[in-house]
Amino acid sequence: MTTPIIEARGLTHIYSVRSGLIGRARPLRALHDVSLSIGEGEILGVVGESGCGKSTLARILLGLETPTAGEVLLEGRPIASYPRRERALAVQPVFQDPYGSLNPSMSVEDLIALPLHIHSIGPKHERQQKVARIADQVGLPRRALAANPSQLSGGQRQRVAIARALVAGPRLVICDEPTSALDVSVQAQILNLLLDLRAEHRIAMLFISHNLSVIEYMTDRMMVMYLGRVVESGSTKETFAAPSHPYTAVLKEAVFTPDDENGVPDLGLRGNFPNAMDIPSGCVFHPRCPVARAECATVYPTLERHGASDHRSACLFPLNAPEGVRHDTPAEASPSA
Amino acid sequence: MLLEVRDLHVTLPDQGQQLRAVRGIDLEVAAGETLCLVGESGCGKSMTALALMQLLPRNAKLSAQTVRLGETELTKLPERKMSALRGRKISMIFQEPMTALNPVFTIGDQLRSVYRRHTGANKQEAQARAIEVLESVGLTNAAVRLGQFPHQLSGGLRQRVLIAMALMCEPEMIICDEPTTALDVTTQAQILRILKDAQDKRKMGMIFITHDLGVVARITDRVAVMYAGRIVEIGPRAAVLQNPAHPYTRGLIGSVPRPKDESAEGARLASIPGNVPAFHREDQRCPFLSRCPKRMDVCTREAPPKRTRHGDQYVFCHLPLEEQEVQPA
Repeated sequence: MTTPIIEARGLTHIYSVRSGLIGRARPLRALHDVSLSIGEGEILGVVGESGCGKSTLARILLGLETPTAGEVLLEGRPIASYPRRERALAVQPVFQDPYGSLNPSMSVEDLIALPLHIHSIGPKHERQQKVARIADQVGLPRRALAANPSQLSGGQRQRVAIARALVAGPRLVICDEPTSALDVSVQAQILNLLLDLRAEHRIAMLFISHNLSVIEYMTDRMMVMYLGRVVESGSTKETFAAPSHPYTAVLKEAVFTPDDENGVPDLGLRGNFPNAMDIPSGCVFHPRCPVARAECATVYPTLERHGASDHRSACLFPLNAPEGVRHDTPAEASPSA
Repeated sequence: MLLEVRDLHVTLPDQGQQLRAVRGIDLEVAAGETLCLVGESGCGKSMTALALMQLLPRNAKLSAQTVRLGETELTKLPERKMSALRGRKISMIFQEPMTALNPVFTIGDQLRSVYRRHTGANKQEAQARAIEVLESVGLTNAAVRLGQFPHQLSGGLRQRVLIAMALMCEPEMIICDEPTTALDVTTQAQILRILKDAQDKRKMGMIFITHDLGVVARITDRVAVMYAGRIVEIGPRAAVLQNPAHPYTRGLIGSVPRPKDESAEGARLASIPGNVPAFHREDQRCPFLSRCPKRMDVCTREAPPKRTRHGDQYVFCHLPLEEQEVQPA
């Protein structure tokens, strides 16, 4: 296999959080032993709810944060060894809020050209051509180039952010909830655009979303995160067809599509929303898990492979387990049971 | 009908012009019924809700032939009388529970004051009622929660508190403006169940505003699709979602990401090119005109007629979609 564009091994990240003026600093473990790799032209999805560590993961892969433990290899080289500019040339972000990430006092043309300027790519007229070409590709009208971000709609702003991320030819784009702030019809335009650009430029992408339908539509492989841990990973198709971790099954049930009119399901979740300052013992999901048993409170299950494929999950009693793969007692329970 | 709205208009000043945010809509909601108002940002759905509550911004102008709740005509009601109805007969739940709760008062202060104001109950009665309602929306340790401040609760718990506040006086009608949009998906499912349970128990009428057609499919009896200040289609849930008659409704449904179909590798999401227009001048023509894939000459000249399908599904369109034309869901 060729070298992946990006590879992360055993990432753990601990923030120090102080509450109140005189409170003592307490550790907040945002990521725990997270590994991943993304090949050329591949889209890896990361799905999870608030506090699962997905944005911390994005910041580490962008080199904005140094992990407490573990390493990130960018095209085989430790990301820490890259000079800042070289790293920025290879990895670019697209964030959720297209307004907050665009300098309001610059014109759209200057915003998109900024990476070319910073990396001293080409003479001025060549830069202008590049900007015009990428603006066409992302579907920005030429007249928008002279505008300020405040004059654009949300969808157009996100196109500017995508154009800026792509103009200098990155190897990897990290999309952190790129369509969460957009209307559905505009979201559809942006998702289509990202898939077109992937096909055209063979860019690798990490695609972070809380919306499982978007992950299912956009990604080749996916990881499900809960309280800083990867609880399930595998090909998107397989993971959806047969979720192995109860949390994945719950997430799948919580995603509503216009075709399903069966009322609001009882997800069977127990307890309250998890707190990253107070991570449970054993399996991090056990206090809420609909099918937890006594062992789940003490033993942390490692991420293990099921069957022949690369589908893995971290559960002592996985759902839909192929026969004889892991445990004597096959998990018969479904989350609504 | 519990709630009846005829020819509602809302205009707002916008950079020296008048923005026509809501342009003549009709709605009806029966007791125990849910009507979803669905549409994208700027379609006027939130302004409609605020107009019904008489909570529009000061500089907004409202006009309507009728806004009737039960026996009461709200359009001619002085503010003093309206504020006696608000929270008692008709309640509203907002999207962002943090901004809808007062950060310097405890949960208990805020719940009790709603109840005491409308019923004249004493503090002990109000406390007992607050505990009862908080427990009914699934909050454990209700007595402890009442002593806490909003910032001490998670988003999902705050939204339960807001629901409890809306239910304190057993209103007949509840208006929910994107109450789960800011929440995680699993929390959303829990909150929707709590809301629907509360509605069923009390036979409340509900207007539920959302941009999420998946949520619509799970909770509503009828749907009104709004676009640029107008209702373009309204009807029973299954009819509208499975057999949309307006090209905009179909575009919206097609935009929702679904698993890629194996047989159509590389299939793209249906998107609607362009953006939602804003109307500053009176314009009787179809608001979807500029983006409609089926636009005809007549659409650029004349107001779209109201057409009926099966008696209870209405669409404003010169060329409504045929039923068989719609791809199976």
